[in-house]
Amino acid sequence: MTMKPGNEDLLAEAIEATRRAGADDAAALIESERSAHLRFARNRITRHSEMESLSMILSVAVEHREASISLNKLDRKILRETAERVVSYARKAPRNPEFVAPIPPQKYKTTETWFESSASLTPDDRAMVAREICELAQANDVELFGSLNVVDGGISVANSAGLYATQEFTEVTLPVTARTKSGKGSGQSTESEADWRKVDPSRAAGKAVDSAIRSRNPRRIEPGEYTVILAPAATLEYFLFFLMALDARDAEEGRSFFSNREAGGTKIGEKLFGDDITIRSCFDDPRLPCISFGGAFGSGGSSAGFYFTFGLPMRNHTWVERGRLASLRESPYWAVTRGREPVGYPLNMVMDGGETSVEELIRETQNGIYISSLWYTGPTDMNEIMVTGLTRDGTFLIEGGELTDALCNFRFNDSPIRTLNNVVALGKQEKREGEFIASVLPYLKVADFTLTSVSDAV
Amino acid sequence: MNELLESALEEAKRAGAEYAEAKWCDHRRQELTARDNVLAYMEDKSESGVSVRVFLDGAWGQASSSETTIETAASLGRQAARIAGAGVSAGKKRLDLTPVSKQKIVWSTSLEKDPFKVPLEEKSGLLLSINEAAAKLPGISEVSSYMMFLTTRKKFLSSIGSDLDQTVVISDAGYQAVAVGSNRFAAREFQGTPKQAGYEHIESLPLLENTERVAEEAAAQLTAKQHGGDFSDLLLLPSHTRLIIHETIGHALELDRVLGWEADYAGTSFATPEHLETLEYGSPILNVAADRTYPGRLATCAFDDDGIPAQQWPLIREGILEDYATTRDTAPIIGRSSSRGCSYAAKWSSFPILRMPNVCIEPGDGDAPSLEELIADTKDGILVDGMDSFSIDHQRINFQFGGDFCRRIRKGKPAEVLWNVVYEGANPSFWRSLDAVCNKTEWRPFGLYGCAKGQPVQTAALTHGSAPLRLRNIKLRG
Repeated sequence: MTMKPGNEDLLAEAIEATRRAGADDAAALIESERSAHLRFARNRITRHSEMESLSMILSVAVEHREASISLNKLDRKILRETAERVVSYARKAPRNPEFVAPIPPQKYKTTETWFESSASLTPDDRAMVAREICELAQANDVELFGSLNVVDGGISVANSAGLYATQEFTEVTLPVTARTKSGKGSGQSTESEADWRKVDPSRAAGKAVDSAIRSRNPRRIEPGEYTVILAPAATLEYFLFFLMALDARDAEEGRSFFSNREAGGTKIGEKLFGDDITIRSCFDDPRLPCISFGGAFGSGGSSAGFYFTFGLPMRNHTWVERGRLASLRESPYWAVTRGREPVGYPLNMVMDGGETSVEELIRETQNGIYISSLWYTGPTDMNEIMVTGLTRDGTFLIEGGELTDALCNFRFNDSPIRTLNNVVALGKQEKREGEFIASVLPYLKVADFTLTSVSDAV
Repeated sequence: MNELLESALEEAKRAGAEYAEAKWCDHRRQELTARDNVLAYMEDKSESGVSVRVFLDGAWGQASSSETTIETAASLGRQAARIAGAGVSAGKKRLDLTPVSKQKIVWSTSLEKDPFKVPLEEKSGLLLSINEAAAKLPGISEVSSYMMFLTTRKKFLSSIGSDLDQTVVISDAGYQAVAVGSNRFAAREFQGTPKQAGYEHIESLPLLENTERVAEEAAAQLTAKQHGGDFSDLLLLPSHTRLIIHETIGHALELDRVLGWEADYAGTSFATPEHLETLEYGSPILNVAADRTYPGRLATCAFDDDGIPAQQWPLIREGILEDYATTRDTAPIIGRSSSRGCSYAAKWSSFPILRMPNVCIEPGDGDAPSLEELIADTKDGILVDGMDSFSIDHQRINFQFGGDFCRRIRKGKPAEVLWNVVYEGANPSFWRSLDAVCNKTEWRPFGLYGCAKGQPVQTAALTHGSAPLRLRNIKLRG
């Protein structure tokens, strides 16, 4: 397969074609993907597929009138026709009062994101992985469900101000759910790495199987406010809405928890949590390999403006520093109007942790509940960042410093703001790849977590 | 294109395929979003590609590429067989398929006005006019509006000689106004209903006519109070029932979930096969039908992505669970000899999976009340309009939903606006508390797209419909 980005000439041709068609400003972004997906359920393979694609997004502006087209056929004739079409669309668009110009060439730090070990996995390799972990489950009289997903991709960007950046990457994810044949126990584990050599399928399956067996025949206890230990998988699904709410424009205009309703403006600088709470998006954390360039996200501006500024060097970005709100997310337009440079940062979440192991956190808890993961989380009122969702795949009672009974699942209704104020102890960090973002989060011991009803789902 | 697809099938058969499908898909999506006085998003996205799916000794294999040459198609045929073969060697348990027969058809959505031929300036002009009109109301901080047009053409050939050429066109528009007060912000949406139709659907929507009402209802929530009680009767309008039909019935009756195939991501279902024809899913006035044939609804087609004809069938009859949505590879597992035709691949490269058909609650009989009569018959309740928050457990039992705009009903009349109504329920007790379904003149369909399922995630579009419903004594949150 030959579909790889990095074709600087093709990007340059696309930019030049838009200029010839009359564009003042232009950006072109090429994405390539060669991927494979294998799914298994009840210890058998149910789907197995491969795909390869190459696509381009072309954004232009003519006198601050903007349009974008994306396509996945990239020969020269089609590129020329597309350039003419996107410019004709832009001419018909209203003038954008929130226009931002393409950014000039940037300097990037090198990051290692592509690994041969992942890119070279064959159909037989993938099928054997599935077979081995399904056999492990079978030996424990448990059924396995999940998928093995391999992506060998790349991204390249160029714009009319002379910027060019390109990088290849690989990703392997192996999410595994184990369920007892009685349907009364369930456990889950996910391995996710850029380098296949770091993935241990037996470790993932083993964790899921152990949790499934341990969570069999759950006991029903009353909902209420409990001291809980949240595993990183649970925290990610819950704190995602905290991260989503960190938008500068919404906050300044009153549409956010982070709006300062008394003095106007935002809560930047306010002490919201204890000194031990620090939350960042990290570019240089070796556990979260990132492409070295990207975009600035936030309310304001336009999609074309996003592409015109795509190619910003990735940086670390601190949202909460020792309990104090440090910054909010800004679109390129919002940053520029406030006299600031647009900042690119990776879509991940890293929260400082402690040195305490999860076993010690449990040992130090007389009465509480251990929550392995949360599911179907969603906001119910963003004024307070109120979130609901359910526990899943392993909820356990803690009594006298030990995990005792498996518990029925619960629905919770609470706010990350309240939870971050109720943190009793921070445990060690653990990497967790979520559906939307990657993270490195600590185990959290939290007081008064609000569980509102019992769910009979296993 | 036939020559290209036939070369893929030929290679797949030569490589050992017992059965093979070759498909070319062409997708185009145009989206416009205006925020206040800015056309913030205008993207026209086209993509196409070929995929070949092979069944070999009880295992599936698929290979896809965005390159559409005969050479590539032939290599995809060989690669799909190789991938299926890898599954055969690794798996002890094999899949079975229900039969499929040779079919030929050319089918498309019926439309009057091709939305892609309507000038962009007309579309952006309408969106900016909506925003301008809604923003005039006091307290409105931000208005955003959108239009979306989607067309998908699928050309499907199979090794048994089927030749299916289907084109679906979907059009949608809507908007949201956000009001800001001294203590909170509040949003209200004009929730459009995406439909298989052309631009005539957008022209038929009362978009500009409702800007004042939508903005006023956003602002009215700034000072509204919560209900304050623990339980209430709920009158759910069809703009809201689409959410609960989707989450608590549609997904629960997808056979792949029932069988556990989605256990690692989308979840399973409480409605397992031993409950068929016995489970009291709801009260005797609950009748739910599945359908992929009715024109204009989002999951409507002539054939599914297994090559099975579109059908209509009952899921719940007089409150009793009757049937599931099925595909060729799930139906045999519960002893069925035919598929209900619910296989769907979202993109040219997607592996077809079981997706929900259009699922609707049938209206009440001739004596059923109108909405006005139902409100008049309710001493104390809440009228719930539109969708807001939603969450349900992974076996479709415990759920919590919110309305976009809610009013108290007092002594048979609509009364004050309520803030952030959120209610809890559980299957099947929730549907057993259904005590009224309005008559057919009140019945409305509402489309949904963006329903996510599968690994990797695929999105699907479908329509739910109902008349207004009343459910008694439902638990409220907050």
